[in-house]
Amino acid sequence: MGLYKDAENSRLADCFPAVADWPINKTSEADGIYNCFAYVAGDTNIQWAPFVIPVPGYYWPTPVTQEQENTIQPFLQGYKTLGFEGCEDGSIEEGYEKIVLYVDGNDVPRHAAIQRIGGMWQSKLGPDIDVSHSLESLASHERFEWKGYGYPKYFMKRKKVLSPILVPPSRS
Amino acid sequence: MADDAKMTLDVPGLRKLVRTDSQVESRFAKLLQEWRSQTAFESVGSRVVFHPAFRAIVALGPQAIPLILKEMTRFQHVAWLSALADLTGEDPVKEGHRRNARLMTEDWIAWGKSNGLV
Repeated sequence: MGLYKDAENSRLADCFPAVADWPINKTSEADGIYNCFAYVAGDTNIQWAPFVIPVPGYYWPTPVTQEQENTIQPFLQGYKTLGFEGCEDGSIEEGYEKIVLYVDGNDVPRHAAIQRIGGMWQSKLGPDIDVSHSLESLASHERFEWKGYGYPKYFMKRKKVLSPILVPPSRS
Repeated sequence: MADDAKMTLDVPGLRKLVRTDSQVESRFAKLLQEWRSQTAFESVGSRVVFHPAFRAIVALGPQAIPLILKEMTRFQHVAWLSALADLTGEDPVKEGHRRNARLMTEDWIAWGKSNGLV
């Protein structure tokens, strides 16, 4: 979809002023059914959130204890069930797909994004649109009054599952 | 006992506390606007459903149910699923739909229609 435009998304620019330096592209319409944590897991039919007591409309793949609430732990455990393991950074690694978790100053996850071909990242902005972006676009920076999702800190990767190549039936 | 049955509440100021439909509607609209603007890009579920404006919407009570259902038909948001469950005590979600919030939303809207609320 089109390049991000100031006039169309002034709200977005208010929340993520870094997009002025690291532009983003809108890739879907707004949808309140799924969130970024679901999106990086390939799920667009429910929101993913690690509630201690389950809440209708929200899902998490692993049980969450009271002590784990507002920590990184359930996130690392949850994505591990999908085959993701912690990795060093967001560099491109052939044969792997990567996700990143943005955390605030207390190490509490605030956002997630998934790496796409070419090294760009893609994510869902709350109940709003999906965008493609750089890691910096949605991050908090001092010169932008720390607005944004925090710091892209936890990277995870898993081997890409290759789609089978469809071979047309031979004409013999 | 008969006297009790006829008793009406006559507490000074109580009438001001009991909201009319139009007052609930305008309060709902104000809270909805506040919640939507403050969680427009919020990714964290707990920060959405425990947002003060969202809790205030639920605290409006049963009169908020048709307003929530109307909002659900305008823009689907998973947060309404928990609000409706809290407000109604009902569970119209079909068993195979619990892992799909789109279908859960459809079940609630169908529930609203069958109860004349949408």
